[in-house]
Amino acid sequence: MSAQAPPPIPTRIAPIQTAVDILDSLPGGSVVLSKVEYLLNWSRAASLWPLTFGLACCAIEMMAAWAGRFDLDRMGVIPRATPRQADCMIVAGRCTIKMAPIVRRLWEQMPEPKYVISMGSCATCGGPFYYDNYSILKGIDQVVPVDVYVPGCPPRPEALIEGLLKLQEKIKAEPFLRRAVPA
Amino acid sequence: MALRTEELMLNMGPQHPSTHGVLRLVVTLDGENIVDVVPDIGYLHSSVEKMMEYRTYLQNVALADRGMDYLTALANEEGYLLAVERVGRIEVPPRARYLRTIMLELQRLSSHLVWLGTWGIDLGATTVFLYCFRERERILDLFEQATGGRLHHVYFRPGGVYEDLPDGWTDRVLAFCDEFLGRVDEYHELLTGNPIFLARVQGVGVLPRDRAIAMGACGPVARASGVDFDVRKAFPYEAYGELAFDVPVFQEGDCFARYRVRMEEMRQSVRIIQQAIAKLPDGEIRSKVQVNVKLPRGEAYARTESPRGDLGVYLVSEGEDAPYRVKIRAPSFSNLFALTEMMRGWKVADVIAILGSVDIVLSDVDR
Amino acid sequence: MSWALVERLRERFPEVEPFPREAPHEAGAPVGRPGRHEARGPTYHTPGAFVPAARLLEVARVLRDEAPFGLDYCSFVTGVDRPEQDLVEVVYHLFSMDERHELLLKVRVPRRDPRVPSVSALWPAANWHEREAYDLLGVVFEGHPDLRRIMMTDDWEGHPLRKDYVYQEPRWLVDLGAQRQREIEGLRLGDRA
Ligand code: SF4
Repeated sequence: MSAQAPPPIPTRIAPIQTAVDILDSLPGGSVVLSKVEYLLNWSRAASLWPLTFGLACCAIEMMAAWAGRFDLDRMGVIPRATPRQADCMIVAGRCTIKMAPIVRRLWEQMPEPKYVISMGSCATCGGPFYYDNYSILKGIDQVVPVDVYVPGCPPRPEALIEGLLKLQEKIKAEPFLRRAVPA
Repeated sequence: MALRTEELMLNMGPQHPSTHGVLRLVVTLDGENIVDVVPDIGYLHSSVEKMMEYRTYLQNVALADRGMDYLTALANEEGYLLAVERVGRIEVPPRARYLRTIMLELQRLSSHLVWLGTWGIDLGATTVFLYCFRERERILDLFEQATGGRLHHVYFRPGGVYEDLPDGWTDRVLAFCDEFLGRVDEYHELLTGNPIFLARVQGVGVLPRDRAIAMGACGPVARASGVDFDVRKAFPYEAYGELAFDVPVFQEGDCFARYRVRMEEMRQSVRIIQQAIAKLPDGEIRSKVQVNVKLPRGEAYARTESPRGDLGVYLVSEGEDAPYRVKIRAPSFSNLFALTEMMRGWKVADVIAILGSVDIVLSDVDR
Repeated sequence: MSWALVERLRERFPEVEPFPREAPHEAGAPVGRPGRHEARGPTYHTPGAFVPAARLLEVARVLRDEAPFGLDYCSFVTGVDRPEQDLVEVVYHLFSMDERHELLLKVRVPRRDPRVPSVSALWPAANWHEREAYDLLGVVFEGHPDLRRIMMTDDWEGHPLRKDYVYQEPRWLVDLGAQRQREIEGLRLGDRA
């Protein structure tokens, strides 16, 4: 909410946009909006359902994060196997050039708002498979936008949890109703 | 009157919760019956064989962890290093051989636990997954204390191992072993006490012995079909020649036999670990090998028994400090090829049960 | 044990050339000294033989079906690219589940046009291994039922395990990367946070 706010970019849901615009222009309206957004963001952040995109070794650590000791369920993070029900996508492991179009397609199938966590060095930048390699994609951010990078090879489950917490922070700080939507 | 039916092509994967990674199966169905299954692989091809040609023998150990079967990092290191040591005629001191054996068997336990847990999920028994990962975390703790890594260890070196064991580690392993035997029985009762589980696996996905050999099946899959072959017995490496253990072989060739082979292997692994710790000799853990070792010209094929089967590495050295060519003969690759044979004629619901029972790891298939 | 097998094979097929066996290495000689080994030919630690491509099928059939060979299991098929000799060596590893002996077969084919007969009719297990060798090394297996690429995408160019292979990002990936870059620039990053 800076002084020179950017020109509003229309969100996809026009009636809500109109309501938001009207509210925003009323005296004290933005305060109300902020409160509503706070509530929405709080609920979104507290039930983050990721699409588990397990590709390689990191996927095993991702599985371990849901198992007994680390128990990601306690944070409301419940794995989904379909993009239609997912809020974010955890790309765990190295992604090959053959796999890249599929990652992109599943990302496109996820409903907005969507986030991507890139787990492990491979998904982030190619990692150990960067040099002398002909088949690994050097970072999935070449095909999908990434919100949180979790470093490590493999990242421990704690690191993945930290990444999810970081994503929650990011979600909580968003002006959800007034956000810019990428084209 | 003959009913006119049409064959249906069903595409499973590459992103599918029960294909254990990025495998694509093109299943041709006639009604409920599977007419043909064509696995489409290569979605995780990481060009390890090419990369190994550009890295020194020592660096390749770390690559063998990651690029090959990621559930059995140490077994990969072993397969690769066995070839290196054979070409370079590098001696491994006795203590290192025993340490390697202990680690390899622990790795087998942890790998089989992942298999059992994920297969349980596939068959709808989520509890097994939670149980298995509980025990697996304890193995990973033991690994972490000894090697520093949970999944990727880089613990073996040409001519030995990296570090000696921390204090009290063997006691912790023995304590774990005692407890673990009871756990295996617990899993067994949990699963076989369940008639649904038995109905889904008993007699399903039969692979006869001759077809298993012709299709190149290996490891537990072949042993469940009556092929009495285990590299640890047939071509003993490390300390396996000095330890007593049995190789479970079943004749049925169905999913349940594959399950029983692996369950029995876990018990045998515990036995091997206990003996190896009792016999663990003192002394050097690593023979003197240069960091940047150059191997003489030569080539060798070394085979080991990884948890998934017969893992071989064919290494060609041209006298450089990096291999000239490495061919990894991956057990999952061969077992996956035999999958078509197992699935033909079964119902579509059996696809997942059969696929899970083969225990493939896509990183091993594609490398 | 298996070296004896190679001898038997040679008796049967005189044109088969066993791997040269050098005298046993001096025990305890230091390993890894540069320069020491260069003059010497390679040491073959696994027994095997070179087979001419024209006789491969015949040899393979005898190896599989007849005593004392009985090699019923094909572990792998692969290739080694040797540009300096202008050769591709196609390597087969065979094994007998009952007798427990093993054998490597090597077939040398010209690098320009590597063709060998397919053994997948004899050992079905060789099917995928041959596809892999075709994909990564460009060896054409004649008579293979389904010789397609197995690891790389169907439209991939070149054979990556050749020594002179140069990696090039596929066109669509370069385009997608550029598109992603434009997206990032148009996003006014920071607005969202
Ligand atoms: S970052 Fe490491 S652990 Fe993760 S996929 Fe890559 S190699 Fe495997």
